[in-house]
Amino acid sequence: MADNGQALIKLDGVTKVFFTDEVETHALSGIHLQIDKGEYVSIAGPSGCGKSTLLSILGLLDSPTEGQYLLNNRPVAELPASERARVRNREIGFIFQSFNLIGDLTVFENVELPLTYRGMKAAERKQRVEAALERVGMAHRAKHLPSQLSGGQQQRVAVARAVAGEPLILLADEPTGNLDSRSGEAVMDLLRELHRAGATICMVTHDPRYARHADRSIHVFDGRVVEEQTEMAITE
Amino acid sequence: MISDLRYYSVAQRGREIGIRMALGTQARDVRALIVAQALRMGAAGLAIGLVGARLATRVLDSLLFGVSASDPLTFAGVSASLVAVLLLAAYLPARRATRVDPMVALRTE
Repeated sequence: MADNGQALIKLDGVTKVFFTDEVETHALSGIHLQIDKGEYVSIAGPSGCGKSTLLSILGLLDSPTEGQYLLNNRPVAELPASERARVRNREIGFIFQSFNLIGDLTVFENVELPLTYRGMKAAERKQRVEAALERVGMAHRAKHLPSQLSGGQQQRVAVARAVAGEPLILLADEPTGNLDSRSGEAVMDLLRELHRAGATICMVTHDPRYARHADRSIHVFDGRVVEEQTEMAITE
Repeated sequence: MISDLRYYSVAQRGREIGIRMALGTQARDVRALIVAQALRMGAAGLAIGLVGARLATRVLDSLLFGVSASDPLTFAGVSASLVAVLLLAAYLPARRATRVDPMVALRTE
């Protein structure tokens, strides 16, 4: 684990170009970004600016065309697919806009899923899942299916799934995008609680109201970082 | 037809596969999961088929010459062939599914 103040994530000159037929789409151009342990960073920008592509690269779901990506001081940009999957499982927790719970699995089984890929013993998995569900206030719904939950409750379960494995960083892609304002505020409060407890969070959002929840807000436009604002500047 | 059904079934589960891969499952584990599920379904079908065939042999016995309607080698050979076809029909779409970009699969409704 990185020490407080040291970079957990470091992107250096990261560029992503998509090649389709004869068209080149420059999704990201020369991104320099550092996220320290314990920071809460938001990445904001209009639709199509490249923020989701940036999050995909941070989450090792995609690789940059150029540039370097250090995760906890380890270069990860060119790892083989199997190793990227392993790092994703152990060091990154995802929270998606569409919750992305598996409908045939119970709440408990959904939260347990990433832990099963670690070869963890059943007793330890059970303990971690129960603790995670307790933390998000969903322990009483452990045996329910996602279809029996509201959107806000499903997102809480998704947060539990993301934190159960105690990852280095939580990556949230528009976590309130499919929620009403009340549920959205509840999820943002949950993320704030997790941050206060020491979690490192990187959240993509197009909503400036939620970008203000972060310590630092990075604005992306046309695949480039155009502005950074600290919490002090955001609240002025 | 078995292959078409398996391709359709795997395609329907593209989003689930994307979720599993995003959470860190290895591609080989996803393929194993899909093939195992296909084999379970196939085993049930095979069992029903074998019982049905055994009943049918009572009618066929009188029509055959030189071979028994309940020839165990024939039963074993046909069963093995069906399992082989099922494995291939499950593995090929499973392999294709794990090559899809997880982010593309996750955006699929």
